[in-house]
Amino acid sequence: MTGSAASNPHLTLAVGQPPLAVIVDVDQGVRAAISEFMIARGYRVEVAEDARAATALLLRTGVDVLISDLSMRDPGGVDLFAFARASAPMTRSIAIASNASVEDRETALRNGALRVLSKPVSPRELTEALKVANACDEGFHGFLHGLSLVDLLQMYHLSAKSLVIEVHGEVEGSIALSEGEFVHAQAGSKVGMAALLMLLKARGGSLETSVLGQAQRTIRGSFEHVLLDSLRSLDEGRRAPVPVPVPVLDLALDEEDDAGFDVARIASWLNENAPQLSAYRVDGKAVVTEIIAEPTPAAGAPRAIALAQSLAEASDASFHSVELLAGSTMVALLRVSGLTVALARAAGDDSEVRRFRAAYAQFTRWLTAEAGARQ
Amino acid sequence: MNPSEDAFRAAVSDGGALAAVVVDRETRAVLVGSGEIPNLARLLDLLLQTQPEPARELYVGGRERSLYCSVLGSGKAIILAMPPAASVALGWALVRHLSGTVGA
Repeated sequence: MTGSAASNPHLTLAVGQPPLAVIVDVDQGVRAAISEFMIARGYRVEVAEDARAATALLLRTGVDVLISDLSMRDPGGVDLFAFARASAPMTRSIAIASNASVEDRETALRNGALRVLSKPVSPRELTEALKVANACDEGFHGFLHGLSLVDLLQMYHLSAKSLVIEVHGEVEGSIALSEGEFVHAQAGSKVGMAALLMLLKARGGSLETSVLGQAQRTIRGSFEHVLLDSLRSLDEGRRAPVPVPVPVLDLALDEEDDAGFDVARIASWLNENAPQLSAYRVDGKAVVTEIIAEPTPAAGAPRAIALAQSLAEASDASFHSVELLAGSTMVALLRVSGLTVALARAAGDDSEVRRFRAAYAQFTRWLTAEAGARQ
Repeated sequence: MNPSEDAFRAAVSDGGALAAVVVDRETRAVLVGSGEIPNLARLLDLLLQTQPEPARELYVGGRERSLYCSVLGSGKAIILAMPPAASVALGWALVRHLSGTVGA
């Protein structure tokens, strides 16, 4: 059976004609269901009821995607994947299985299958697997060991890849790169730089990559800057286990521990009281580590925040509050109990500057009261 | 001391400021001053450096002082140091008033 449909926006491999998928399963119902799904997504489809027939298809045509039952025997599904890997290395394979053992799954993956899906296959799982297949339209995939997370990040940065690296082990989380630049990290309840630090600090584990979807942006700054800053922080943490005394700030009720602040609560307050303001968590080096609220992208904010912090430090090292109006950007930094929050919005006329200052003053009172309530 | 300098110093004193200066943005020379602003040269370097977008106003709330800076359209900049307990509104009002005394 052969079918075709409109072009598939997810696929980029096939040039001039829709991509070709080969569906292999002894069950005619399974073949028909998957074929219908694939045709609806713009694939041409060839079907085969056993591995032998599929082998002939793989030899005859340029197959983009092979979807095959894993539990076939003589020759089996694993044999088919091994054959595809050897004879059609650009074909991306997806295994489906009803009762595959752990060993069968592992063998399928080792023989070139990108994903092993359980029967009955859900449309969502198959869609995800096809996204991975599309993302693997060039380069290698497989199993590696002895690779550090930093090595991997740098490799993906250099090749300007967009993907998510999922980290499993003592720390569970993920790091999203868009065109080789950090956009998001998550580990436990942390996001942004705090999460990235947790993941980089992990001594080992396993890594898996997946396709980048609609990732929120919680990390800003160039890849090199963010990575170097993270590694420096980790290095300082390793070399200086004894806490360094920090100046007591006017509004600081304790020192560096901001763990008790509920960022979601801050975002909620801003949304209710000053929805036009962007807000960021900032580290001691004026680097934005987390986006708390960003109703509109504030392109000039990171630079203005860095300038505001430099100006404040030049004025009084123990500053607790800064407001800077620079060109078309207004920013304000507030330090409370080890937390530094930067507010930003586009600058306007005098009345907008006054409104910004009023909102900042109101936020200062609220956040200070929050800090007091934590004590 | 000319009348405007006299009025400037009187306003600084009456406003309860710790110090205030007006500088030429090009030369960084102090045109009028009352008291001393710590790290003035460093502050001016940062404030007046060529940015993608130049700084116009700055407030720093610190433990030892609050600082108010305004880059004026007349080629001058004013920097005011207030006691930390003084209100921000008073600080900005004094900056506006001082700007007027030096014709900015």
